[in-house]
Amino acid sequence: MANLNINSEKKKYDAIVIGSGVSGGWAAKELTEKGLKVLMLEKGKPLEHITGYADGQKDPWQYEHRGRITTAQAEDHPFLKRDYPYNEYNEKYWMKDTDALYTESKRFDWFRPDIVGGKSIMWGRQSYRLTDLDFEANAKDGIAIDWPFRYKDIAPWYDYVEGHAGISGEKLGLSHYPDGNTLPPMDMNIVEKDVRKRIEKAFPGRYMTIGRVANLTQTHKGRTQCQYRNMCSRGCPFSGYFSTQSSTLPPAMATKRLTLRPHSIVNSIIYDPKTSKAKGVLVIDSETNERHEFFAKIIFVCASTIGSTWILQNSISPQFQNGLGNSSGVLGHYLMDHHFRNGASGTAEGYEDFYLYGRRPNGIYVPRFRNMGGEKRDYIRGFGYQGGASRSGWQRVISEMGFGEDLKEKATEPGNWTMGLGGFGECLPYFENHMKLNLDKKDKWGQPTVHFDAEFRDNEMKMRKDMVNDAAEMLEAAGLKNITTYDRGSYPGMAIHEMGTARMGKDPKTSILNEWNQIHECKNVFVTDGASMVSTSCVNPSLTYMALTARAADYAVKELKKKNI
Amino acid sequence: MDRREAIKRAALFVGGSILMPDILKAWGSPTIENSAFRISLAQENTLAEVCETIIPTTKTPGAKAAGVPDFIKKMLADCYEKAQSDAFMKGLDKLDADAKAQFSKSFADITAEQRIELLKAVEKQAYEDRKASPKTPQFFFIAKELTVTGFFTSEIGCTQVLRYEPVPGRYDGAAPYKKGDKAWAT
Repeated sequence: MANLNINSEKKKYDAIVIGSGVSGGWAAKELTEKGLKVLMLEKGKPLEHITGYADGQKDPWQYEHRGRITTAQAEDHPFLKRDYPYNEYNEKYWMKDTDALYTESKRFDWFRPDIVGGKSIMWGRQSYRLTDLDFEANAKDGIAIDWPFRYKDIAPWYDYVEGHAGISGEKLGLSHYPDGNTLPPMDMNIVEKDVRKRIEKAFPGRYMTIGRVANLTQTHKGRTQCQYRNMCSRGCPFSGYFSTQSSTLPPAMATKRLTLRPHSIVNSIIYDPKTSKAKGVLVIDSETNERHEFFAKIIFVCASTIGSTWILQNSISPQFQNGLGNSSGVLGHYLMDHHFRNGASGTAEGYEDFYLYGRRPNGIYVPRFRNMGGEKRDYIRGFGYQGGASRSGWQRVISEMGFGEDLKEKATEPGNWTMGLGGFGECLPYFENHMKLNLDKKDKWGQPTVHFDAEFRDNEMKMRKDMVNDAAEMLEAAGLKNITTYDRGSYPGMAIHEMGTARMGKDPKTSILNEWNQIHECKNVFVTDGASMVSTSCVNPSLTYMALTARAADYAVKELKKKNI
Repeated sequence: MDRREAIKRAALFVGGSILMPDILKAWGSPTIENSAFRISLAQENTLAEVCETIIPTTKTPGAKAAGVPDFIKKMLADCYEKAQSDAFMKGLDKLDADAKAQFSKSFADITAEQRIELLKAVEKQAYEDRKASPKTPQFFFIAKELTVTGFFTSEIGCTQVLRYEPVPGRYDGAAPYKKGDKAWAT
């Protein structure tokens, strides 16, 4: 990590990358490898690869609260405490909510990291491609705006980023689930293999495969393969999964052209009316509260969906009084997230002579099958399932009656095999779902906070009925017993797949970014994270941010060389 | 373990180094405390036997050997709301009072069979009370969840009672299993 001497700190670079997560890491790698001197700004604290992951090597009994957060931590994290991703194992990676409380008209869960690497350390690692089923959807349905490109334009970039990141998965040869440039798949277990056969027989056109996951199934670019510990979100000392630290930061650092500056909150992008371009950024040092200006020819905004749009909204100039590049007025609007937390589960009988060895940090995947091939449900778009089968452990005895010797004996042996399917559904882009600056409420550093006003609507609610019923039907057809359905409710932000708010498009009147993730009205600024998404698809989005970022970096450097920006 | 030693050990778990002044205050007094949680020596003795009644020593070590009572104190002090830890402490006191009423001895001093009998009555009541008032914290359910969790995540629980493999290195989705083989801890 950079050893900083503020007094002699360099102020001018070829490029500035804001954020060091999935997108920022890729921007830094691509831009430095193409010869640019890059400053990467990260609002969080340093986190060294491997040596920084003390929790990645601990045994269960080394956690005094066995994973639970304390009441004191809950008080400091009134939003993060709402769901499991914030826990004792990785709590130090997350931001203290009370440093920058946000407000919400309706519940919105915003998970903010506080480390170099951002959410690439704690992410779920499921890595899927969007297809023309997604890229054509808005135009076909006549809603929102059309994506400015098609699958063929981004497919080579998916190949490229998969090849470097190391994504394991199975090739099915389906147009709506295109084959990737993948490492060998992880194995399904004995129950999953049988369930797959029965589902695919009972429902032609529905498929079940092992999840495509950014965990290595063989050594890859100097990284060790996944050790099947399933402790990923603490940081992996084996480099077994993709993170900024394991995959994109090392090659960027190797060029000697990257300067990484943690504790750097980007307050705004400085616009120069003489050139109609951005000339740099204003940074607040989160530790000293000092203001610094840094300058560059191009700026990559990769601060996360909400973080990136917040920066644009807070970048006010006489030319852009409502946010940088926002003459269209759509900045902050069309905020989306996947809806989930519903499905079904059941028990599998006849497998008592089998058990699992190893803790696979991955499950199965059922690609979308609804509203395809001419089918028309009472909603548009669709959903996929994630899930898996396993034998239950000692935890099951907590809710069963009894105690003493019998209970201890019972807990010492594995329980039934169970299998579950949980839906991840597409959310439509609605103008009404939005985020905006809250100028009345300032954060610890005196900056405006965020106000959210977003909810899932009729289309999502209708889809959720299918998500539950189809899961139950498929498990039933697969021969599972004691099937129960569930819908625990889903709030925007909770899937941590927040997207939109600075969308791409062909027309500057209705979009912020063009097909290259370049701000229409400020050509040397690129926004390549989830903020740029025009629709959500139903697949996990991070792989697409990687592809968009690499593609935009390639374009930006070519334009720079042509002196167009 | 003498009283002084008991207090010292409990203090280490309840307060941790951050609460050192409180720990020092606890020296020489039969009560340890911090702002959120306090436990008397009598309650500690009851707690230890409640844990051991839920997960007893068999061929393998039980809850006391695995350090579960200390774990529960730590959890109540750090992770539970006051209403929950109050309900828990009241439950401990009630068990001790029941023992004295029925057997004229403290819960810690009655036989293992007598403890099972008393705890069974408490369990039955807890299920009934939960039906009537699902949100009210119940001593029995807190005690059972914490004892089971604390035990099977302890070093003894993971490595001597269950099987534990920190670095499996591979995945086998159809590993042979025969009745009696131990379950995995994680």
